[in-house]
Amino acid sequence: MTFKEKLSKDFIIFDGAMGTMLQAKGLGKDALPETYNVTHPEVIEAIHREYLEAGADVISTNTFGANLLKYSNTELKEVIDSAISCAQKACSDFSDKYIALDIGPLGRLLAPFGDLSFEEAYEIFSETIRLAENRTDLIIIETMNDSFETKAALLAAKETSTLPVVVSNVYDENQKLMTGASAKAMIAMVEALGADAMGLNCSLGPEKMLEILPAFKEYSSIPTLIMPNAGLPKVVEGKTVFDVTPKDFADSMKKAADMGARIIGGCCGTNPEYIRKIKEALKGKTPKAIENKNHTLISSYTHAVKWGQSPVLIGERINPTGKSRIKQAFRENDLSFILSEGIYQQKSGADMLDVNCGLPEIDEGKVLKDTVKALQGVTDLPLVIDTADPKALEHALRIYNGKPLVNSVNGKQESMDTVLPLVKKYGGAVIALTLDERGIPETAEERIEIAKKIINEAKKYGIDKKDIIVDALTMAISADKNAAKVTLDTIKGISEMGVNTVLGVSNISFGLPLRDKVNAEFFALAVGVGLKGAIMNPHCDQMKDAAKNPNLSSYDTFAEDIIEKVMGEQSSASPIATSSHSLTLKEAIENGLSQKSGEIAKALLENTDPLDLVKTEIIPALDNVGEGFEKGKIYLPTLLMSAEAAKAAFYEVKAKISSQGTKATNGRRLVIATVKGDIHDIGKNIVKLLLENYGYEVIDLGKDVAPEIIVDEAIRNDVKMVLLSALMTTTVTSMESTIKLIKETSPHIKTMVGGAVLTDEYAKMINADFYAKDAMQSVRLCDKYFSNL
Amino acid sequence: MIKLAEIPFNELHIKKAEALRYAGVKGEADPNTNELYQRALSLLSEVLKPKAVYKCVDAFYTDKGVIIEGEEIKSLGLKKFLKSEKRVALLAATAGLEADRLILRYSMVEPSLALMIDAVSAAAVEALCNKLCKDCFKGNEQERFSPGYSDFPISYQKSIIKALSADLKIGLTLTNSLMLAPSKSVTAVIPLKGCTDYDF
Repeated sequence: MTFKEKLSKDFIIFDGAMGTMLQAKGLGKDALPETYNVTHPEVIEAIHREYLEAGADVISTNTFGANLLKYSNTELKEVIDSAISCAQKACSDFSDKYIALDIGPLGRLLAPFGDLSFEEAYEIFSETIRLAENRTDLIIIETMNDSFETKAALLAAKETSTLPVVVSNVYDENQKLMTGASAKAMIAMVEALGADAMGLNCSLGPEKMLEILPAFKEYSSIPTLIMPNAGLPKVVEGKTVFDVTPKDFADSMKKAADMGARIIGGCCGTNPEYIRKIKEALKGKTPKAIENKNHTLISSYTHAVKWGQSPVLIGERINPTGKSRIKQAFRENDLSFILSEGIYQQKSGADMLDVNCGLPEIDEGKVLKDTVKALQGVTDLPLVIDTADPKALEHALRIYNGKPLVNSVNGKQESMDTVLPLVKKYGGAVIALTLDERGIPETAEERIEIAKKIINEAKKYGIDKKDIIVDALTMAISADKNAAKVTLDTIKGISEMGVNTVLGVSNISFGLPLRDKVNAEFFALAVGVGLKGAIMNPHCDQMKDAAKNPNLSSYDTFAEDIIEKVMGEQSSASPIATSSHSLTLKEAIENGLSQKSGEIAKALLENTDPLDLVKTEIIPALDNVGEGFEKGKIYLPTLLMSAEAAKAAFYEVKAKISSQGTKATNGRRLVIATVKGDIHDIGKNIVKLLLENYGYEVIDLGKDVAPEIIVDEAIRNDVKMVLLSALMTTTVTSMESTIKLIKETSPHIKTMVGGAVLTDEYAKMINADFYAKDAMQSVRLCDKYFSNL
Repeated sequence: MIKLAEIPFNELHIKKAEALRYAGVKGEADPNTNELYQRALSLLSEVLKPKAVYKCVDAFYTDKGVIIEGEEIKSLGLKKFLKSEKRVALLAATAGLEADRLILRYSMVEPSLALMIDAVSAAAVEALCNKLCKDCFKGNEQERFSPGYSDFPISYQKSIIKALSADLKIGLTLTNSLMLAPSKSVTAVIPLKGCTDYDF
């Protein structure tokens, strides 16, 4: 019987702790535990044997930390070969026993908060799995406390081996992973990525762990694993012991079995006696059946959004189509603008964010991936990956930290052939557009037919209909009065099939005045007939209200009614009243009032030249605050609040200027970066904010940036100055090598450095041209340098 | 034995003056800055879960420094600080990843708040260590010595994290360039005066 066959029929008992057993045998203190596979194979084999004799069906190889971060390539091969051989020898006297290749966490935090990239983590896991050469019966990825690392390991297992994979995470008392994911979020992601079983181990004792099992019962459609610690450690007569006895442990595991757990074992503090008691406790019990759950879950690295209840609001703003500022941001690689748009949409109440960067002149594959990576650093909303480019889609899906929603597939055979395999492979759900080779059908029946076709095709790839969300397509009612009704009828029909629906609502009002009002009314109607989500502008309150108040009164006559209504309202609309304000722009900036500054600037710009406004109000205010800072009268937080207020005013200035077709910068261009090895960038961001306020065009390369990239970008953008930031003495060395490379390749480019550990002297030592002790000084030094050119 | 301590954020005695100093405030804070401080504090109080791990180990002294768990640390500064105590504690503490997440998020939309969150969470991890120094290690609140102080090699952070399994237990890791991640974290060695009273 294979492991999978056994799993489908019966309980599976795993072994207990390896570390605890090694310590009991006096090992494990002086060397990495995996080296004992080579130096003391008889001990490892004996431990395995003890667990098998106690009744374990599966033993895990002693390879928890066997990876390239801890071992060289040759050592790793030796450690893994010996580990497998120990397990095989131990099993040779038994029948129907299974060996699991044990994969533990890497002990490093993934980027952006650590310096290990997702791709590096993937490679490290892949190498361990590759070296095991499918010589085990399954792979267990365990003790994972981060969802991104879990994904890297699971993807590596799926792509490197053909074995069944079991995934186990560590939850804390708050029922979350160390990096924040709920069980529901982990279930959404891990199951969709194709794991054969999943669950939880380590950290908690058995009773605490039972509290988390209901989430698995409710959401998971694959077998559940549980491997608690033997309670909490305490010292008794100089020895570390755990406070849950084998008997109590087994009693809890009996309860776990009743709650649906199917794979049961032990973690820290357990030994063969615990396994023996589990075996006895499960005797004569039959495992609970594994039921398919019908929830549509889309997840991020913290939580899962469940579709099917109140409508899910997907923020549509990160999309260049028809939005010149977003377009510009993508073209200029201004990620911070895109990211703030994401954060603002979350603040406005979006449940998920659509990410689209489809512009002909950019490398969509790279930009989409970079945007998704960066967005998931600043917002925990699940993302909708929106692209027509299959390569870009794959790149983005790969590094997405959760279960993504793909936007979109349609009924064209070519689209289904390219998109559906990617959805399956990367564990996503997908929006299905009801159009095909013939275009967009004019009747609801035909649209429903296309939806059915896509659902059937998806089934061939193993994608369940719960993971398909149908877009019934919204057409402009100004062009076709029947458009609204066809869409609504389609939603109704699809909903009756038990399938979720979504709409890009705002198309309905194309070509009409008072679009928000039209959109909101249509949205309310659609929700009334079963719409489960909308791709919309979350800043629009009318739309958000509509989601709460479905209204069916004008179902058949929506188009006539609404057109009549908005036309009437528009003709009676009064001009926007100009607000009176007592504060000047200069005062607003000096007092750090961002919102006010933006409002005042906007009002003033109606009859003031934008550049005059900059000269007479914004720059003098900034100078005033800057001088106060330099004299020690005001401090950094106040300086920053003023800088933010000035930025809000500049936002309006730029909008005005770009509508006039000119540029808002002073033509002085800079590259700024935090150097390789350094993952702190708050200082760099402050400097950037101030420089931008003074009109500099700042190309921000981010943090942990290699010297070569800094040089390439400086040359490509033809800048005259590169600003570098480093926080620690250990990273100043990479600042030094960056400066060296700049001097060698492009001696005309000047360098300015700053950061906590730097001093004037230190800066000279590493050959920097300028040292700025604070953000304000970096502005002064740049001003001085550029005006002398 | 390794002990885990989870101290609720609101039980930490965060020193406001210290946080403001980290944010670059060198004198009296203006009302806007005070409001910023309150906002940072309240955002952090919702998400931070400060945690620490520690254990008691033997220390042996040599001419050049201290031997802890078989490893010689060449640091006269550390040796002097530990005052020849035979038992010392290894400590790893972190304010947690959520501080870094908030800092990154707000640096995009409101850098002044990001700066203040950075400062308050740094003060929070100090407060966490102060509390442990007093309550668990029965010393003065500042009585700890961290890798990077004087001649205590920064690379010793690695040994502390390994000895305490800090990566597995509290999610504290090191980057290649020896930076602690999450960033609002501390590792330290603390002298223990006699070891009978301790619960570890």
